[in-house]
Amino acid sequence: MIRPLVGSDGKGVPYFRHRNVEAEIEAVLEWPMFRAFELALNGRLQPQTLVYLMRNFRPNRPNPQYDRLVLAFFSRLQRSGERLVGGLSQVERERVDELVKDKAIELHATDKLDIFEMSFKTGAERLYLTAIAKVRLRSRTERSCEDLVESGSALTGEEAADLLGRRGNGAMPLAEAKAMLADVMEHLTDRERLAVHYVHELGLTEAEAAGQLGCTDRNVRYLISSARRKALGQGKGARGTARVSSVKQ
Amino acid sequence: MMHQQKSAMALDDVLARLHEELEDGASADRLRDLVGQHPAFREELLAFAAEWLASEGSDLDDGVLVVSKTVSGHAELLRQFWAAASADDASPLPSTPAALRDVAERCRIDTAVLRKVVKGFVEAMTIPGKFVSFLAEATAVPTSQVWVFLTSPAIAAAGAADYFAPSGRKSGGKSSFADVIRKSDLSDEDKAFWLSHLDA
Repeated sequence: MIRPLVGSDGKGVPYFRHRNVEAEIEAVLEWPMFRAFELALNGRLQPQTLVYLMRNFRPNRPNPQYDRLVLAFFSRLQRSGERLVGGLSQVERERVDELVKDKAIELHATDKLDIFEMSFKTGAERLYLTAIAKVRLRSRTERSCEDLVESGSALTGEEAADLLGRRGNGAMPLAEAKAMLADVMEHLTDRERLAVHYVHELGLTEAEAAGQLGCTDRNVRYLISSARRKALGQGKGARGTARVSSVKQ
Repeated sequence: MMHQQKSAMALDDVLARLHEELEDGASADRLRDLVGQHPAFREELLAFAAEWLASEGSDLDDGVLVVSKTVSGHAELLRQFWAAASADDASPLPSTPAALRDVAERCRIDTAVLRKVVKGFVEAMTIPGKFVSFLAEATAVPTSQVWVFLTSPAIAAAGAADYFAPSGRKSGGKSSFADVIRKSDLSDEDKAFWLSHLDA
């Protein structure tokens, strides 16, 4: 009775719904459609079921109940990306949100939302990470030469990945490296994290970062070297080392 | 323009694959392999990998059902959504009586009920999704297309008024799916099959 998912991952393994999602969809289809929509709108259904209803029961023309379902989907999508866009400027966040919205609309129109029926979280993360990577690349090319010189020590996406490739011996799963990085970051104080974020992620000068933090640029240098010392103590693997070496530059 | 769209789609497919592989434990060697296979997307692949590495992921798990914040820019979002949506409201139903009877049987109703549904005498939102799915299976079209047909303006207007009534135009009335089943000639067993949830 439930339409099977047709998309598949890169290895050709078909996407699948979890059993509890299938069971919920089957139960919901027993109800009249207005009741099914109500349950989804009242937050009584899993997000995958909401996506199923949105994909299979789009009416011929706009209707208030369905439109609320669409807004519920996009609200959840935006909320899913909140932590991921945390390190971006306001302008970049807006660009990312727009790209994600456009892509989600395209995926719905071309009936390619399968990944969201398997895991809404994974689907949302994919859209956001893709959009963030695109925006960061665009921001880099949009910088003036002067900015590039000043932010020469910033950790760019490409540098980070290159460093990973060189330092990780190639064999370490990147997921493990990612966990190590998270471990390193956990040992930093809030101000150390902020200093690293301003200088090495946003590309601010030490003086600009000092302005943001409300301290002297000397203090910023101290925070970053302290972060580096902690990272050297924590990170023994690819990601940690890559991060540290970029901090050193 | 077309080329750009194709290229963007190809990039998204490659990034989707990279995402899956990263989540499955891909190594830096594997990342290099992928970059080697898609040199045109080198920058994008490396940027995505770097974002993924630096990201802790979303903090909203699928088990959390309620999201309190509402997305911004409702009107524009809905305008874009509906502008992208295409609607093929052609009837998925066969035209011969014998074929209609077959579809009705496969949907566990009779032709009288089926005719009421497809002629617009039933309020679409009272129809259970199960029936729409059965109808989709019986007519071999996607569920979404059946629903687009059942909610099309022609069907919506059809049951609403009788323009050719002998006494002049009459406002029609749509029934609920449950009422139509209740008043039908279906067996008690089939009625119970449909009404067990609709009456609850």
